[in-house]
Amino acid sequence: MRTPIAVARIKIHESGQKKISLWLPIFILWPLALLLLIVVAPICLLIAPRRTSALVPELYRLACALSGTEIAIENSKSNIQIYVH
Amino acid sequence: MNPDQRKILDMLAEGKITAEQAEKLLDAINRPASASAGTPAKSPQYFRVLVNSIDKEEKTPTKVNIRIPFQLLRSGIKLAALMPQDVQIKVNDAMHEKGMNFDFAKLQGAELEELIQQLGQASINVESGKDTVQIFCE
Repeated sequence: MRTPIAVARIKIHESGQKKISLWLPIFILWPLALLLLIVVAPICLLIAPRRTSALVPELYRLACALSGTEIAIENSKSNIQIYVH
Repeated sequence: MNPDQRKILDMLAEGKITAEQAEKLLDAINRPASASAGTPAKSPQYFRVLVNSIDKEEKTPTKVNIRIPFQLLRSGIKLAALMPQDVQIKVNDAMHEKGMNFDFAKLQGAELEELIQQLGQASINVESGKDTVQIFCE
């Protein structure tokens, strides 16, 4: 079973500015998201049961699929890197 | 001794093939089936986009390097099919205006996997002056 993304690293460096390097622990959000889902899911299931039952697993798969995404943009003025694991 | 080996030795005895050719033929039939068939190609995991361009005004290079997991493409297409009907119509209309007669909602299951498989073999290289764009799978 695949696990959703856990960590994101963001590095931003613009010329003349201080380097920004962030390490985001996304795994902290998952228990909160689960709690929100438990609260909101019954209402959504009442309003649109088919769409909700199809959407929630796909959103989970999307969160798992983001793992491995890398974006790096570099020019003379700035250097931006985003890594998702 | 199996019939193929016997046949090769008979051909050698009759002078139809040289000793070197016989040796190669014997090696080929003795090689294990999995090795002769070749190892199956590993399916690509990521979609890579590389862009190198030179800014026309400042004459400085710009580099873009993006790696997208294939699983994200699958999930994105499946999620697009779950959009509300009116949103899908608007998206399809916008795509038709640009000349793309394509409906993501109809792309599911085996067809989606086939599209992903074919994309895995895609490799695009575009060069325009000093600007280059490469799209490939890895």
